[in-house]
Amino acid sequence: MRTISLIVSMAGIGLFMLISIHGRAQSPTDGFTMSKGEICLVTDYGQTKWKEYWEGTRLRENLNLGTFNARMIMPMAGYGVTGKLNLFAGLPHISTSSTAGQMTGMKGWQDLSFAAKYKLIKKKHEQGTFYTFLTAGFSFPVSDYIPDFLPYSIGLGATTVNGRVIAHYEHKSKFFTTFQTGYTLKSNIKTDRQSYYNERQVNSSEMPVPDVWDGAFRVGFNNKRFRADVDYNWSTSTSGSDIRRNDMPYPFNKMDAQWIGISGLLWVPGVEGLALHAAADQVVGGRNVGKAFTWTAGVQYVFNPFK
Amino acid sequence: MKSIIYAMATMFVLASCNKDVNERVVADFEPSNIDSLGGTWKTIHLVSSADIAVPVPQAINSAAYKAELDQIVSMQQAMGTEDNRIINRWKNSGVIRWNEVARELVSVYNIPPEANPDGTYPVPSAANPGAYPKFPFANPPYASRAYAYLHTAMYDALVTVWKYKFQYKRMSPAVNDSRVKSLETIQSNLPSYPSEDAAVAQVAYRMLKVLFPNDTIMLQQMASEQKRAKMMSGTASATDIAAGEQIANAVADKALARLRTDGMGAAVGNPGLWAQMEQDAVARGNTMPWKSMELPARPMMLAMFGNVKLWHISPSQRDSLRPEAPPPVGSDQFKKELEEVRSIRRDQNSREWQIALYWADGVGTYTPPGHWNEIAALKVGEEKLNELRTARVFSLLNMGMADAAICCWDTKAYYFSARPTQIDGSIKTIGLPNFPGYTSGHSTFSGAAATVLGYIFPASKPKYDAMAQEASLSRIYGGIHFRADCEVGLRCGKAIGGFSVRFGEKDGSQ
Repeated sequence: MRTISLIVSMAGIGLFMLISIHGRAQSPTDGFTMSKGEICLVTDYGQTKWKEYWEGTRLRENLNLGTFNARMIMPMAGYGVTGKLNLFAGLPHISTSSTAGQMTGMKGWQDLSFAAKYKLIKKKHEQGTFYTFLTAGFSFPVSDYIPDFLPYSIGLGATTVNGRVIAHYEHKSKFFTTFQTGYTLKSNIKTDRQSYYNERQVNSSEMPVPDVWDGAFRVGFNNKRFRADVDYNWSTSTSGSDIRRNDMPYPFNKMDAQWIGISGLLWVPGVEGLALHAAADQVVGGRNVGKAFTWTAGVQYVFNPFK
Repeated sequence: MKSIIYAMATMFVLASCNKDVNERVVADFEPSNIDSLGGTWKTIHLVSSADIAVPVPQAINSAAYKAELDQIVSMQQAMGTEDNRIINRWKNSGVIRWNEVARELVSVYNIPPEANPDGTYPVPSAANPGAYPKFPFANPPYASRAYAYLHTAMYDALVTVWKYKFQYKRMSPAVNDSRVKSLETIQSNLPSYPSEDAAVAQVAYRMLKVLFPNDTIMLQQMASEQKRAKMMSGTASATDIAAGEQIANAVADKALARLRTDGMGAAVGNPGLWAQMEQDAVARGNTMPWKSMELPARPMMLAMFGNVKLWHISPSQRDSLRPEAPPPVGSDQFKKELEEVRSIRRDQNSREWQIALYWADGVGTYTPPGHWNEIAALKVGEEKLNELRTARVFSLLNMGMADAAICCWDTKAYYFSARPTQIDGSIKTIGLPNFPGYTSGHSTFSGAAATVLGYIFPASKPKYDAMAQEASLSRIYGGIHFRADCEVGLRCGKAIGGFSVRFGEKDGSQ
């Protein structure tokens, strides 16, 4: 099946403070697979913007930040080891800035992530086909970027491991629906500062990063020429503290978000394996994150060098 | 399939490290020295330790004292696991423990108030401390003052405690009665009347509840717990505790009387004074007076703090310590220093960035004075100082840093000089403080702190001087100060710390 779309970040990059780079149709989390020997190369460009953010549960603006911007370039690759087992890798480059204030923006290569997706069940019946998948992945920073300078940090600096289950149903009408949910464990990180307040004074340069439970529900249409879908997503930190009133954020904040998105993919007529895709989403609820609007667009090329 | 599940499970186990972190702690230690003449040391709030009369304790063979011992015996018989935890929590230096509490309170309250919708800024009110913005805003000047009051009062109380300990020489319940178990290691030749722990706990409670009034109940609970711990462990009897409290209350009364009249109440200033301050600086030749870069523009933090009462420096000495004017805007020296700030690499690969963040101690932290207090606490643990000598370290250190804050704020207000970002908007920073640049507060604090600690711990003086130098330069690296701000601040800080050192040299502790 060539209808894969490796859009945006791999599982484990997920959402980080005030920059929501979230997976839309991200391959380790979608219900589609590559066939044996297929390779998929993807490059995406995206931007995220927010003016309001949740300080704890209070939505506010900050004139000393203005509008926050992040720009992302995301090269990714997928490989069909078999029709049942697909592997993925991705590495985003991110740069951040804001339109006001005195703090410096940052840029760099973020976290390299790998994931394996395994097709557990495929059940055909008259009306359609039902699939379930298991995904496992991990990620780690590839540069010594600074995690403790939020919201300008390009990532949280943690090494992560995640597991995910996906249920996917394709109706014979070409409509499909996907439900997926996963859990990401995140390691502690080293900060440049030597102490910080985390509900109490902590005299350490070591800082925890909350684990994350996330998931998505997706409905769409998919045929040989294009795909379009809408999705609802959530990401919840399973620990962490709120940003105190008028304080700075930091990596152990409890960063929660819910967002809705749309995405589309179009196979370029006449060029075997080449597709364009685009996605957009809006954060609609959250805690200690930006109320972000994000869009991405990119190209992908699927081919089978072993055929 | 099974192997995939197994692999996933393994990875989860590998990554399922908990969220605990390794913290720096002052190692357990037993003091090595007793300082039996400590009662003669020069006090700060009191004229001398003789200011407070402490009654002669009951003899150890008296019925009244026997009743106190009985009380401890029955407490020890009824002890549970929570009681053991309490004893353990307070077995080390109470001075250091309360220093940690103060640092934590500073971190809680060190957040600048959010602007009102009309563009003005609210000011915390001691009269209504729970309303937003909560009282106090524990910024670096406030923090330096809080640490100084807490620790000078503790020091005076302990000098007085030491006087009566060696005047009356009544030992601890565990020493006086074999029925009383000694549940912590104590200095066996240190008399127990009056209790140093009770004095420390009571001073801490009395001072901190004024400095951080929202936390009065927590502070009271902690102070009661410390006193109870010492009775349960066989270290102090009820009258040992009461005598320590009596001394603490008398010292706290004096220290609080000073606190209430030291000029802090006028430190915020008002629009008229702020405008006057700027005009005066312009009249002195400043062609580009400081402007707040915040939106909306925020008044200078504690603009009149330079008028607060100093510890070891007179107002005229403060004026003579005030440095020369900074390099004029547009001068060759100024341009050179601006170019230096522009040229610093503020990115992840730079050593400069790490140094800038290491010493930043900005919003929501225990502040630069808090950082130096932690450095001192770790050193006290290494040196195994007794409680009196520990109190002296924190007293001298924090008087030096409080004087540094006052002198530095006086200089900032006097010259009202712009920071690099005001000259060149393209300079981005680690976070910009909202007050004039010349001289650097971090540099002044650090110069004073290194000077005091270097005097007390001479073997470590080169290390402290190097740390202060790094803390000073960190502000250029962070994009928020010119070199002159930092170098002159460090120089002034060392001179200011010298006043605290000279007090220490003559305090009778040698």
